[in-house]
Amino acid sequence: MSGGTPQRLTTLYPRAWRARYGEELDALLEDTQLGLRERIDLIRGAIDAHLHPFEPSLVPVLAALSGSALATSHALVIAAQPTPTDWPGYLDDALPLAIGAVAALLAAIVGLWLKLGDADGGIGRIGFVLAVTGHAVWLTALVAAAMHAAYGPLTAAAATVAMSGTAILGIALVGRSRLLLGGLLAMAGLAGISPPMLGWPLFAAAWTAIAFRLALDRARPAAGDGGARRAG
Amino acid sequence: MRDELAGLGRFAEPSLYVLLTLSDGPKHGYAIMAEALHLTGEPLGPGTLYATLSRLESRGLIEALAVEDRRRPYRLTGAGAGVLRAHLEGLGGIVRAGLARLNRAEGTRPINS
Repeated sequence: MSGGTPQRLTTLYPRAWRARYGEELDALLEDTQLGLRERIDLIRGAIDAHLHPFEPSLVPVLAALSGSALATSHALVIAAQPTPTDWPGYLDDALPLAIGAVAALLAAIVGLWLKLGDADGGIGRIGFVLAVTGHAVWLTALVAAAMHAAYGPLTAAAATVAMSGTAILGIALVGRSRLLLGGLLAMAGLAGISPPMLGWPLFAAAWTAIAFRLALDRARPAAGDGGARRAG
Repeated sequence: MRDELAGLGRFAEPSLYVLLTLSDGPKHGYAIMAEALHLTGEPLGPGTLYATLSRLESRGLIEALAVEDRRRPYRLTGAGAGVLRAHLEGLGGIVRAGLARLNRAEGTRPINS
């Protein structure tokens, strides 16, 4: 079936995807009788192509590196505090770094999950939802604290949920043979709920290693770890 | 090796169909869709087909050949053949065990008049 509509549907796909598969998909659609079911299938395919980018994004790499650097800075500022963290100056000194770190790590986890494609499994998906929800609530609580609106148990609870979700996602990935990436995520999550003196260096090291692992995957798409690789 | 397909989530079944259709030689998208329908009775939509091809190609289970008149054939790689074989042998074991149990049960089941 020829005509404008199928070609308009293929324009819903990302540009990089169309550059690789667009012409052959157009040729296929010219040979195919397109009913409503096929059109809906094409739209679902386009959404899938956007959710699982053909070209691995640089965002998770930068987000993981930024999150690691900001978390380390935050830990150093806390260590340099002359008094416990509930003194008024704590908010001004340390909270912007914590907000930046949590926001960056939220972006890193979402980007990493999109990169993983379909390989996280049911338990990994539960970990992902917990990690994202925890980081989002944690971020909201920290912003509220910076605005002197609220600061309390919600922050600690959200951080614990975020770290637990990260660890569950990592453990699920290890169970699905993503040993390196899964192990690093599990280490980051568990380090985040460990005593600070031990936990923060491990947390920062894990996220830095995750960033390098993702950068390596971008540079060398056929790298191992069983991960999704760039085609074409 | 069966995990290689299981790891594809909702694309595991379409992936099996695509690997099956390519098992006897290279085919382009339309031929894959037609043969998948013939083999399984399940229509494979164009969006699902290309999402599946992209995943299989990125995992090295199939490879693209040169374009012929705007149609690009794909063929099974050695890794893809290994994954397909392992998956089919696994399914064969399940089929044999299931049929043996059914046969045993039918042999011991009282005949109702």
